[in-house]
Amino acid sequence: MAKVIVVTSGKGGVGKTTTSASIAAGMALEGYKTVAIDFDVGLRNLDLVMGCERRVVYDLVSVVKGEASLRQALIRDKRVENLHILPASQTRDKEALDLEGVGRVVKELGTMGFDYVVCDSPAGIEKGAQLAMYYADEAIVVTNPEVSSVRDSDRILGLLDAKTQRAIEGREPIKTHLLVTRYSPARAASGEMLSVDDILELLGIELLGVIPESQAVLNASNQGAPVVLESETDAGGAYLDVVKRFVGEALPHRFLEPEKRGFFSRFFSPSPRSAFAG
Amino acid sequence: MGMFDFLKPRSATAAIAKDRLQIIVARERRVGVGASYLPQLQQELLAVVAKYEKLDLDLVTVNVEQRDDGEVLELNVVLPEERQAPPPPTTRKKKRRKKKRGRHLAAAANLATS
Amino acid sequence: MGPMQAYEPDPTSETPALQLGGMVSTFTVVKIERADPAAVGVALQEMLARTPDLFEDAPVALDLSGIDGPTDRSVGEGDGLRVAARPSGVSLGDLVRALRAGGLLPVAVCDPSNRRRAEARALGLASLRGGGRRAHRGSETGEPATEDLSPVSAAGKALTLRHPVRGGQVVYAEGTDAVVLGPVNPGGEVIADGHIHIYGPLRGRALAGAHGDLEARVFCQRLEAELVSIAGVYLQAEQLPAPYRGQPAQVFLDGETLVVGDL
Repeated sequence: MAKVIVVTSGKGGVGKTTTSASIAAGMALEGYKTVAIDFDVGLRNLDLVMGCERRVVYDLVSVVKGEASLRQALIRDKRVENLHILPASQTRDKEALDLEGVGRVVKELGTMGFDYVVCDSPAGIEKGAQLAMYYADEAIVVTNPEVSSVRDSDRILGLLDAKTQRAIEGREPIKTHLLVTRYSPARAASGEMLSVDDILELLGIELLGVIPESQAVLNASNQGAPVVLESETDAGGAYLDVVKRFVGEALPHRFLEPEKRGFFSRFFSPSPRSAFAG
Repeated sequence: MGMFDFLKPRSATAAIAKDRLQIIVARERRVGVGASYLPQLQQELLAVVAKYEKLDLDLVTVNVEQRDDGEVLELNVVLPEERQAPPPPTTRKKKRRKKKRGRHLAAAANLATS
Repeated sequence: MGPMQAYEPDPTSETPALQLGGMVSTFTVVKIERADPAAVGVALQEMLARTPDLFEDAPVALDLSGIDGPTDRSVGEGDGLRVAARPSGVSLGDLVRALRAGGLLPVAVCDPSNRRRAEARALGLASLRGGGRRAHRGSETGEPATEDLSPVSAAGKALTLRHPVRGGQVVYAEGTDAVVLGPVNPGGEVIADGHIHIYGPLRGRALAGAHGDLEARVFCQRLEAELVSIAGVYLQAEQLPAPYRGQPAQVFLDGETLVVGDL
């Protein structure tokens, strides 16, 4: 049975798609057969971030509507074995998806031997977001250290408690994880930005990881490669940690505190991390 | 990142991004309609073929491909082997069998680009 | 996917066109006190001016016992349907229009004696004969609550929530206390007919004594509320006394005044 993970946030622009791409690619790197599904019908982006936009023929909607088989619509990643993408449609309207159809797709992915199904949720709390979360076993809630984002994440957590299949059927509740992205430890330390502790206090869920604000994320998306594949970068390394933590490795959290480095080590550090980070 | 990296004019990845976007935008403008008629086309073609043959949807592909001389619409149907059907012209049969088990119906058409 | 015998466009066709299910829901009961649709409209506008979002598209049931006279049988018992005194001359249609103009969505009439049934039906409203358990806070005209309308006391088993109440969630402890083992976050709302106990910070809204129990209280470990209310009397965030902000506190009614005190 495949484990279904939804990557969600409520607010847009916080890094859901970047996270979905990197979590899925990271899982595949770890040896799990993984598929990332783009639920953002009408505004597909996951294929762009994963660099397979020119190979999209069919999509989630065509599978749900029975116009293509799942095998036809799945795009196999060229860099990472075990990694597949099911893109969203750009031309269809959002009403094209329904719970029953998505349920069939998720079930069939399970029978095809996938270990993980990563659902990239659209922004908002409406139907699209609720469809993306409905069949999830676990949720990664992506939050920026910013009031509106934290508050939206709180709303999403409420929906995860109430509007998922697990909640409705009264099964064991969905497991929720917090991922703080675009974090700047230095600005949090100086009080310009909400700290991870502030966010944890309000949301009260387990911290899966912290992704530092980084040029590496932009570089990766420019090239259409999940940033986790560049694990020597700060954000890439942070995502790899997140994936390893998710599958059960106990790794200490990083990027919580600003780096304290002397003047010379800033310039002559052997660390590949950006000398100008923060 | 090296010591003098900041002196470089700009990171190379932005140029890659621009190239990718140009391709996407051009393609989407051109096949804005095309991209969505493919599933419909496949359905209708299937309906026709299904009149005469038992079909497995997985073994049907429809593609629009960009070639130097224009766009090519390609339809490839693999027919199940067990079913006895009137034999296709012998020359053709031989050729297809070499390629893959099962019988194939293949068609390609050049699309005029407007 | 197996071989297709023929062209089969809709694989979901076995799904039935409709399914029946049950649902328990609470809605606001609007008690009409004057047989005058215009006055009802004005009163409604006044309420909306104070709290514009209070009723937005809220389903409501109409209670006409204030104008049609009390019913002469106990509510909820299965005795015969006696037709009581003639209803007041007010047309139900006029009342419904006045309420709709104020943004309410009348869906039913509480009509234990079946007097308004035909009218309700013509308007597409349901006639609720069971009546449900109700209580009223003192009305705007200062009329004291009558005996049979005594506040619902928190006699039942408390509603215990083991999860945080998050933004956008509304929890209602009907006829009882609410106990929240966790925070009530901004945008979250706990309503109880009895007391509200929050073992965590109260950052959202807490409305105790929702059906008029003047003795109801709100207790919390950290008072950062957007709004606290007892029996309809409320304080908003900026009205909370500064010394109690972020502190453990209880909120209760002293006469007409809402008081914040030590826990």
